[in-house]
This record gives sequence, structure tokens and C-alpha cells, in this order.
Amino acid sequence: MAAAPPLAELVLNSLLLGGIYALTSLGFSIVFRVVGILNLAHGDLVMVSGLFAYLVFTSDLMPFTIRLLFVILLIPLFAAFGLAFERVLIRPLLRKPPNEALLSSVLVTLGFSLVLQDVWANSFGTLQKSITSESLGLPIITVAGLTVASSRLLALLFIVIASILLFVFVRKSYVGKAMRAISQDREAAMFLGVNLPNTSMITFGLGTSLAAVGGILLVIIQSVAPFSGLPLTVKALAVIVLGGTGSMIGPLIGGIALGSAETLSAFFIDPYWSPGIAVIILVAVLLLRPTGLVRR
Amino acid sequence: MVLIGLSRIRFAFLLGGLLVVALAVGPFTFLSLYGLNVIFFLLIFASLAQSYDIVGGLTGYINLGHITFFGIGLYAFGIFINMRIGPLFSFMLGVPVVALFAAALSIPFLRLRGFYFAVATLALVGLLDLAVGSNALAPITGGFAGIRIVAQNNQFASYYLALALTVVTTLSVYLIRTSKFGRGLLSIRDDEQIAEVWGVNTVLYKRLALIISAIFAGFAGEVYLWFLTIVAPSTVLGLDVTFRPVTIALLGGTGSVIGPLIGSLLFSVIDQGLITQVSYFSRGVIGIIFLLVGLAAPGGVVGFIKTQMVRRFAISRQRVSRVRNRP
Amino acid sequence: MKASSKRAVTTIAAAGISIALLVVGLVGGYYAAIATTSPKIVEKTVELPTQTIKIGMTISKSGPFAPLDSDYDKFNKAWQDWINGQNMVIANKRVKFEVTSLDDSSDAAKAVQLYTRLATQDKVDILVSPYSAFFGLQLIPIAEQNQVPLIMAEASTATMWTAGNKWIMTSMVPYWEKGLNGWSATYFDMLEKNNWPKTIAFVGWDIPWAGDDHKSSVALAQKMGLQVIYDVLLQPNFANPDFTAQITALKGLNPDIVYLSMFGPFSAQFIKQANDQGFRPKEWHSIEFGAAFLPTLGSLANGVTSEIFWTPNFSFYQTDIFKQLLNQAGMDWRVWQWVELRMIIFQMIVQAVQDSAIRNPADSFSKASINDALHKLQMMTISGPLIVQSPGYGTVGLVPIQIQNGNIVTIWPTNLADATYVHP
Repeated sequence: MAAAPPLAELVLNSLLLGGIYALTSLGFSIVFRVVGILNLAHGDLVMVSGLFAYLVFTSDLMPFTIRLLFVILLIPLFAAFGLAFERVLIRPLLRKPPNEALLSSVLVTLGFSLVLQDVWANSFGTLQKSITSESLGLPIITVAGLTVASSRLLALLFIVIASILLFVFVRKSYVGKAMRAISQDREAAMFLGVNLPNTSMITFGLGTSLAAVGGILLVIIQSVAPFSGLPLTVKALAVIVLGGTGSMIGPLIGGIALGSAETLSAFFIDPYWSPGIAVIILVAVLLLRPTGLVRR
Repeated sequence: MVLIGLSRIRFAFLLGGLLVVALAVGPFTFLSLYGLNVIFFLLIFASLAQSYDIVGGLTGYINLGHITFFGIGLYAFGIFINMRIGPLFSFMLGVPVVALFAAALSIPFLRLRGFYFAVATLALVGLLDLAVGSNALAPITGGFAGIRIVAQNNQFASYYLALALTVVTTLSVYLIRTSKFGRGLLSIRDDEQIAEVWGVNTVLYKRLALIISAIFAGFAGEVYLWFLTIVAPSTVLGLDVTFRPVTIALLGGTGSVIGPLIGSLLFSVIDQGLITQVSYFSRGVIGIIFLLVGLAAPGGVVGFIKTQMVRRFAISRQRVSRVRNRP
Repeated sequence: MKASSKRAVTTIAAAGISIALLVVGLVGGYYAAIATTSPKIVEKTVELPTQTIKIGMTISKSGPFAPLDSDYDKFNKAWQDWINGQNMVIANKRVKFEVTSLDDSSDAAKAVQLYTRLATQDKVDILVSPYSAFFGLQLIPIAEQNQVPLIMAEASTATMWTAGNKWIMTSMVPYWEKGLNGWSATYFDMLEKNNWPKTIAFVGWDIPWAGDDHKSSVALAQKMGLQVIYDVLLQPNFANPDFTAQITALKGLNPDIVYLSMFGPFSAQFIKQANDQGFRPKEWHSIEFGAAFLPTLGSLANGVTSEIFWTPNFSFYQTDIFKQLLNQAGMDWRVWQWVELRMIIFQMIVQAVQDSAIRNPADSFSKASINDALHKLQMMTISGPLIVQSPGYGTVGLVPIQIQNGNIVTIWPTNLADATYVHP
């Protein structure tokens, strides 16, 4: 204990918290950028994925490796769900002018999130679900006197890799370029022959599969509950605004900025006022750079 | 067409007038205390949604933190009335406090556009919740246990104030829409840069819109506290309540005068009806209604009715022309 | 002689008559007492008029409070079935109880509307508060204006009892007080006897109840001579709070005990996150261990201390019935931790209706009479004796428990304890 320098550990842990914020915001961010809608059910999808992961992990029927396999299968499953979701509920909105589509998407996705909450609460109960990292054999690592939860480290690693992959994907691949084109100028992209419906469907699927990953890690790191989705979405809003919606690595930067702001202000200034300090930092950043920390 | 338009407005005024008279005599005739409660909350949320729409619907700036004005009005009123200066002065003094707050806020916040404005204002709600619930301000705000005013039976008086507030807010929105100011706001919504080029003082207009919408919301907060006599901060500054003015306006139809009213009517009826009849899945049913309205109607319920009317009108005209064109 | 014998005859007659009267009075009184006070099974041949006592409340079946109280509905139903099966007769009337529980969706404005409905339209005789003191506070004006007694369930805070309210009451001790009655008074009493810890740290939520417990416990700790080395109140966060900063600070200070005053699921988050950061104090104390606390922590919960109003080894009054009702409702007392308060409330209601019939035979079932009886209650509950004090709060206090190998054991006071307190 004496060997652990609290300051270094604090900085490290605030980075890890930023990783969690980024993880739960990245899918939300790309959907907003490319499809042009706010998916207010994103937080609920994260929660539902966490619930499924919890149910699989805590069942005693199968050996651990098979359970892990099933949990990993959640990611493509959620991607498929995202494709269907876009096709049925979002596609009709995209025929409208962008501004109307954005407003309608608020109603549609908020409505969907309410349905999801109620179905969950009535079928699996209202209690929070959570798994300790011990029960999954995820160790607590001590390196150079710094103690770190491997689940949190995993989240940060994953999000950094995912952000970089996305960055490369968007630069190099055809679909990625289409995504970029749409996010820069929708009409021009359509004019140039970009398949808008397909691209937005793929983007949505990508967004929900990222939500699935977020849920799987969140149930280990924190907890999931039927009515905690919307606060998570609101957090994601703050994260992507802070980081800027202009870039794929925006959520990562925004998440780390928010995580550090919250943690450091709670440690050095006042734990009660730290959420407020985070708000003030958010507003200050916006006023200085009205489109977030990362520019287009 | 012009005739139809005119008569429609007259019809709306007539219907609105009748409704107001019915609601005014309600407490003495057909309305139970429970009914009065339901309509009181309906009116509060209607005026909140209506005042939100001055910025959200007319100007196109989605103010997710509209409830902060409500909260400021509520707390200002509570603090004044606890200073024993009487309800009348408290009501009057609360308004300039909210207006000043909105004016101060507009300087930095209106520099932000669209999505960024929405999120920054949303963040403000949490900040206010934090401030009024804190130990530092507890001597005047009551801290986490909430603000409490001397309990009297103010329910009837506050009901009429809420009714008056809704009427005044709605009329103001109507007057703003038909004025040069309103056309200026609409031009900002459509394209802020072009509006500026055409000589609209966008900074002033946006600021005025924000202040006007804040005053109505603040007054709603004052009435709310007078009615309830005790209000805990997290029950008005929580996420559920924060989104409500926006969702109600969207549900009814944002940017139209009667949209927010219809939205709050629909919301209250579904909400109270469901909760008291079926105890499960009430959230889900509201969710399904949001979903369907979002899918079917870009302009909410009002937009849906409008498109239906236009379609029918177009069809009937087609038929007429087809009949006429018959050789 | 004549006169004296006459006097003797009158004396004997008088004595005889008075003895006869006494016997008649006693026997009559006995039967009258049986008929009016104690519930008894009445033969089917006797048709008595029915009196229904309506109890109204809201429960948060959705929203942030749902994980804490959504299943109370089931308990209400189980109790209602049981009590109506008792064929209770009070003041020559067959008394039925009807419990209405509506869903407030964790929304205060909705709770206000629904309680107004319950009080005025459904005309319930007794209101029971929802889970949170936020809402409880806002409902007091409804009880006062409509003159319906309102029993505070899990919701009690100092300001409720200082404003001269006449229609509210609770079973719980005034736990915000900084002395004998504090929330963790028995726990600190036990610590004082064991005298092992030197330092204590406090982390709490700035809300009614949790904030009250926090402040009263800081005072108690200081009084017994513990060194309070950390004391923070946080803004409540019902979604996914992160405690990195607090845990890092605590790690540097290394207190013997960390006292958490938050709702159970969030205390569990604190302990879980602390464990992930490699911090484990000698003892965790949480003011609530219900809801998702135990499932979240699993083996990490071992050794955590907390407190509760009732454990299954209590044997005061109707403990078996309470256990049977929990069984019927399919509820685990370790998850729905404060359900015993609901049982106590039902016991209070039954007792108050009976008392009201004795005190005020002319108008036994009026709200005013029941309210009066509720304010003068002196009775036995599942958690021991309850005497309602004049401001409206009660005397039912808490006992410290400890989680040992996944079981919850009572560790203090010695006459109720079923295990020994494990400490370093």
C-alpha cells in the first residue's frame, strides 16, 4: 500500500474511467455522425447487452469457455439486431429532411427505449445486475506499485484499438469512405452515387455491436439496470460533445477528458461539486472551441 | 383557401375560449379535487412545452435545459415568499430573476449552435440541481430535503394561475408567430446565416426569444411551488422531468401553436388513465405511442392531422378536376 | 333490635346486589371485551355488517426507485389475502382490508396526483408513503389538507416532524438525531464495547435518509472517540456512479472502517470498485444491504456490517406470519430489505383500528379517530415494542448485522444476537 503513489494511480484510474465513457459513447457517436439521428436507446441497448452477458455468465449449465463464447456471440447478434432496427424504425425517418429526421428520431428511439425498459423490468425484475471480476477470473494487476482492475484495462485497450481501427476503416475502406462522405455532405454524397440506405444500415449495425461490447464490459466494471440506460445516453451526449463529433477518435478524447475532469476535481477540489465542475469544463470547452476538442 | 384559413383560426379561438371557460368553472361544477390536480399538472406541462417551443420550435434551438428556468422561478419564488413579503410580491419578483438569469445565460450559450447548444443546456440542469441541493445553500433552499413554503390551501388559486399562464403563453406564442419578430425567429430556424444577411438582428432575436420563454417557464415554476408547498430538488431537476417539455412538444407537434397543448393533453390522459387502470407496462405503452407518432408524423399529432387534411383536400380536388376534365 | 336487624337485612341485600352486579358486570364486560377488542372467528350463522378499511399507496414499479421497492406490491397482496381470511370482527362489524397500490413511476408529480386521487376520489382511510423521502415530503400537504392519516414507510427525515403536522406518523425512531436514536446507534454501541477500531471514514449521498444517517453517525463516531478521517457527501447518481476519486483518497488514508450511506446497490458498487482498485478496509459498513447488494458482491460481501429492523430470529409478535407472507409473496427479506417496515405498518393499522373502536365507540372507523389511535399507539410489532411519540415518530430501532459466509447474522445486542461479531 505504501508503495502505491496515489497520484499516479489516480491519473491512471481516471484514464480508465475515460475509457469506459468512450466505450459507451463510440457507437452513439458514429450513428449520430453518419446516419444523422440521435439514438436515445443506445444506453438501453448497452444495458440489455449487459443483462444478456450477466444471464449467460451466471448460468451454471455450461463450462466457462462455452459461456464466454456465447457472450462474444452477442456482438454479431447485436449487429444483426442493429441492421434490422435501422431497416424497420430508422429508414422511414431518413426519407424526411435531415432536421425533421433528427427530431422524429428522438421520439422513435426514446419510445423504443421506454418499451425496452418495461419489457426488461417485467421479465427479469428491476434489480441491478453485476458480476465481480473475481468470479470471471479477471485478476487485479499490480504493476510498479499501481493497482489496476484488468476489466477496466481491457475496456480501455478495447476502445483504443476500436477507435484506431475505425479511423483506419473510415480512411481506407469503401464503406468507410462512404460513411465519411455522408457525414461531411449528405446530398453531395448521394449525388456522387453513395448508397445512403446501405451505408446507414451498416453504420447502425456497427453502433449496436459497439453497444454490445460496452454492455459486456459494463456489467463487469459497474452494473446494468433496466432504468439506467437514459443517464448513460446523456453521459454519451456529453462525451461526444466534449470530444467533438468531427472525428472517430473524438469520443475517446472526450471520454478521457470527462473522466479526468470528474475524478481529478473530486479528488483535489470537492467531491460534491465535481459533477458541477465537469459541467463548467464542458461549457468552457464549448465556448472556446464550439465544435469540441477534436476538429474536423 | 383564405376563407377556410380564416374560419379555422376563428374556430380555434372559439373552441379555445369555450375550453378555458369550461376549465374556469370546472372546480365549482364537475371537477373533483383529483381532476383539478390532474388538470393542474397538465396545464403546468402545457405551459412548459409551449414556452419551450418559442426557442425549440420557432427558433430551432433545442433547449434541453428548459427546466432550469422552471427551477430558478420555483426557487426564487420560494426564497422570496419565505422572506415574508407576501405571495403577490414574490410572484412579481421571481419573474425578473428568471429573466436576468436567462439574459446572462444567453450571452455565452447562444454562441453555440444546434446539437452543442442542446447538450450544453442539458448539462446546466445538473449544475442547478447540485447548487440548490448543496449544504452551502441549504439555509435558503432547504438543501436535499427540498424547499418548503408556509403551507396554505393555495390549490384553487394556483389552478387559476396555471390556467391563466397557459392561456397567456399560448396567446403570446400566437402573437409572436404572426409578428415581424416571429418571422425573424422562423428565418433563424430555417437558415441563420441567410437571416443575418437579410438584416435580421439574430443575436438580439435569439436572446429575446430565450428570455421570453424563460419568463413563462419561471412563472410556471412559481405556480408549481405555490401549489405543492414542498418541492425536493431532484423531483423537478431530474432527467425524466428535464426531457418532458421537449417530448411533449414533439409529441403534439413542435413549431405549431396548439401542438404543445395537444401533446400535454395526450400525455396526461395516457399517463393517468393507464396508471390507474393497469399497473404494468404503462411506460411501454407511452413508448409505443412515442414510436408510432415519431414514425408516422414528422410534425407530431398536429403534423399528422395536417398532412391527412392536405392529402384529403388534394384528393378531393383531384376528383373535382377529374370530373371537370371529363369530356 | 328491629332497627338493627332491618339494617342488617339491607346491608346483606346491598352486598348481595353489589356482588351480583359485579359478577354481571365482569362477565358482561368480559364478553363485551371479547366481542369488541380481539379478533375472533364468528360462526357463519351470525351475519354482521361489513366495514372495509381502505389503505392506499404508490409503489415505484419503474424508474430509478424501482430496484428498491417494485415488489412490495406482492407483499401487499399476500397480507390482504391473509388478513381478510382472519374474519376479523371489530365493534360488531366484520372488518375487511383493501390495499390499493398504484405505480408512481418514480415521478414526484405523478405521486402527488395519485395520492390526491387516493385521498379524495378513492376515499382511502389510511395512506402509506412510497419508498423515497423525496416523495414522502411532498405528500404531507395532501394528508394534512384532506385529513387522511399518512404513515411514513421508509421515508422519514427531520423536517417532517418539526412542522406541526397532525396526520403523519412512522414506526421508526427519529434516526436523524445525533444521540441515542441515531440510525447506527446500536452499531456504535457495539463498537464501543469491542473497542477495536481507531479511525473511520464516511462517504454518503446528499439525500434525505442517507444524509440523515450520515450526519447522525458522524456525531456518534466522534462521541465514542473514533477519529473521523474522511467525511464527504456526494450528489446522488442513480445510474452508474464512479467512486475512483473517493477510493483513491481512502486508500491513502487507510481507515479501519468505511461507513457508506447510500442505497444498497450503490454501496455495493463502491465496495466492488474499491476491490478493483485494490482497497479493502478492515470493515465496510453500509446503511443498506438490500436490493442488488448481495448479488452484486457475492463473496466480497463477507464481513460487511449493516443494520435492519428485523431478522428471522426475532420472536416478538407475528414473526411466523410475516415469514409465511414473505413466502407467499415469493420475496426474500435479504433483497427487499425494508419489507419488515411494511409489515409493521400493517400491524399498526390493525392495532389502530382496534384501539379506535375502544377509545371512540361512536365513530370508530372515521379517519380522525383512526389517526388519533395511530398517534397514541402502544403495541408490540414484529420488531419489538412500538410507542408512537407526540410528533408522530416511533421507537422501532435497528440492530446491527454482519454478512458471514453469505448469511446475514444478528450480532448485537446480546439478547437478540445469533452469532458473534467478527472483527480484526
